[in-house]
Amino acid sequence: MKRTVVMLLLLLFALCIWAGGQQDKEAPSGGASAFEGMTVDVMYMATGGHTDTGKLVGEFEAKYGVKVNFTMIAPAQYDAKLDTELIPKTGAYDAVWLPWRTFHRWVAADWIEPMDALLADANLVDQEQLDLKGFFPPAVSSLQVGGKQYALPSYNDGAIFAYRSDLYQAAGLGSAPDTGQQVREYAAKLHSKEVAGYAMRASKSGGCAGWMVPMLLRAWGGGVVKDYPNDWRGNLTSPESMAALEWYVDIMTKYTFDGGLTACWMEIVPAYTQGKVAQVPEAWVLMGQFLEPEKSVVYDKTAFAIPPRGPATRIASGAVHGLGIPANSPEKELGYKFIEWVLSEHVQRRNVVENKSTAITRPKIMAEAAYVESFEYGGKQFVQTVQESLDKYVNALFRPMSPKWREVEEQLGIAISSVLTGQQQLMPAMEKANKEITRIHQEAGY
Amino acid sequence: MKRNTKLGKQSQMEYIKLLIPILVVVFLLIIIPLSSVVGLAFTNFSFVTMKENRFIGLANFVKMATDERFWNSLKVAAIFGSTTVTLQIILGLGIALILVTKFRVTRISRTLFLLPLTTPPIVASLMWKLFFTPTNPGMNYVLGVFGIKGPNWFDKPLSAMSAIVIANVWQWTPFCMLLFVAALESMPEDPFESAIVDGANVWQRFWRITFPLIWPTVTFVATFRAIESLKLFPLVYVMTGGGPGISTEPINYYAFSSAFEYNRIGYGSALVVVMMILVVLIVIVMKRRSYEV
Repeated sequence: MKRTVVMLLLLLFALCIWAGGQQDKEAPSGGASAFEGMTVDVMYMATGGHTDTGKLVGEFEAKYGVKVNFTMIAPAQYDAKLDTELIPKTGAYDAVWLPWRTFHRWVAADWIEPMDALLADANLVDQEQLDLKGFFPPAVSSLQVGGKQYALPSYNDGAIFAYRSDLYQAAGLGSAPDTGQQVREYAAKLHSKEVAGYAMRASKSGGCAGWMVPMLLRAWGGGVVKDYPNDWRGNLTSPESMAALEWYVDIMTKYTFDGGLTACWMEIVPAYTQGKVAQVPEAWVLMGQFLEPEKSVVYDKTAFAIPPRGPATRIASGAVHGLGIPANSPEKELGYKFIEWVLSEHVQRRNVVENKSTAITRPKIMAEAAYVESFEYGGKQFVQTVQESLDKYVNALFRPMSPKWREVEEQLGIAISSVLTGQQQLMPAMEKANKEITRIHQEAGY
Repeated sequence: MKRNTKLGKQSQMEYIKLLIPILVVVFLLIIIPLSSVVGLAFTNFSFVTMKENRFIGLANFVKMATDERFWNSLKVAAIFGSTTVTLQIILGLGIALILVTKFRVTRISRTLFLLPLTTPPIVASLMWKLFFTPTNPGMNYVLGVFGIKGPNWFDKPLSAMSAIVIANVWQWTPFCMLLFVAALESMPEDPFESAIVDGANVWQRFWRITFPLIWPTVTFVATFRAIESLKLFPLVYVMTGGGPGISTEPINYYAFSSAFEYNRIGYGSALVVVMMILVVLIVIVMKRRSYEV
């Protein structure tokens, strides 16, 4: 008996080894390539719509006969992780995610390789797979610095407006608000003990107040700096900026949800999907969750609209993230090839169909039935709204683009947060922030 | 006599040889990193603008003198330090006094009380953040059961700071308790027997005998926890990010932001140097206190 068990275990062990060997053999069987047998190290930020991209890399491995080491890092830790990889020039990664907030900093430090030479290499580029013109053109241009292309767009986000259609109906509100003034009036009508009238990013952390407030400043005719890119002095105390900030502080302190004064998307998205918020401007890539029955109790009660306009203009914050190649990567060509493949039309389509990803960077896919059907709960209104917003209102220049943005954004966030939580009055807080923003830019030579 | 001296020198050499490995380790792992930080504090070092990095003398420290955020971070560190250390010592000692009784139930409790200490700080931070988030059924739900309306914890400086203090006290009180239990259990019994014969009550026995006997432990715990409170990082990072505004931003968090968020390594290092000076001062003061029984 004992002997039989030992024999069976040995047989099982041998089978496991054989099966593993078979798997290893299957991976690179897609055909020979110039990269056969090589390894590409990729680092992604676990941002909306991309958390499942790792599941697709088997196709790349099979196609080029290579191995992909795919690492996914949480957004809060991503910048620090990439810093620690890029600063000591370890050459540990060949393709990396470049978030919009810190992209310019890394480019200014010469840590990212310009892609122009690779894009011009006829032996390397598969034009059909690359299809550079197939990306949203503003997304491609926002990843250029000094005329050089440092990354290709992997994530093209923008703010749109979501609201509870059932509550609108009950309150006798016909259509979505067109102006900021209307948003505030609607918030007053909709606000109750159970459902907050309004929510908007307010936390001082990166990408929170610093993503929403500059959009408001521009919509009201103000801005973070006086005249980008000619005059980098702080502009938060101009009459237009102050009017925008007064609107923001008023609507937030009166109508947001419990905890909303220090909230960012991590708190706002669940608050909305739990039915605790009536109106919210948010990143459209995250709004796919509003429409998923498994995640949202209001999936069938949600409607979308383009961002309401301010007294000066209608504008939506944009956030273009890219995939680039570290300057010290030992396998730049393979890194490029991975980027070309993962951002190709075919793979982006797979991401939509298989992973329900909203985060695409090619307009053609957004118009396809597969994409529209993935988010049909909103009666196609979601997709139409995103398309219109991207076409007309999303602007990556809603804020000044500089390597110092992270620091400037934090100064703005601290000032906003202090005012929202009653620690400071609006004007003195903005005067202080203005001074800091001017100092930061002056010290950086702007 | 001469022979003995020679032997003494020989053994001294033996001792030095034995010390060499640890001296190398101390030099590599402590002296070099610390000297690097001190050196960087006198530069405008930044990874982004490597070509412009240079020695700037005391400029970082001069700037600090007029930096409101620096003074705020010192104030926040002082508040965190004083409240957390005081609460941890009072609660730790109180629990330890209960646990040194001979009841069987206290032996099981001793293990249970140690559980927070075994929780990784980042996990504890996430747990408490979720617990204090008003939209979750956490602290405010518990308060609601008793008819109390809980605040929006992270929306006001006082409540945000209280949330961090509560989480920190929860995690580190067991450490204090453990040391106090050891100190209480190692006390001699004779003075207590004499005091009972002399008619001293419980309170008198505690203040006149127990407390003086465990005073060195109290000062050690206070010193250790005060230094640790200066390094309070995961709770701030996860729970408040230093906000609202900068109301919960202690000096180490400000140093982190300056160095790694804004890439001002020189200024961040200068802040760390100030922090190290504070630690040395705490140690000197508490060491003196430990002799004042």
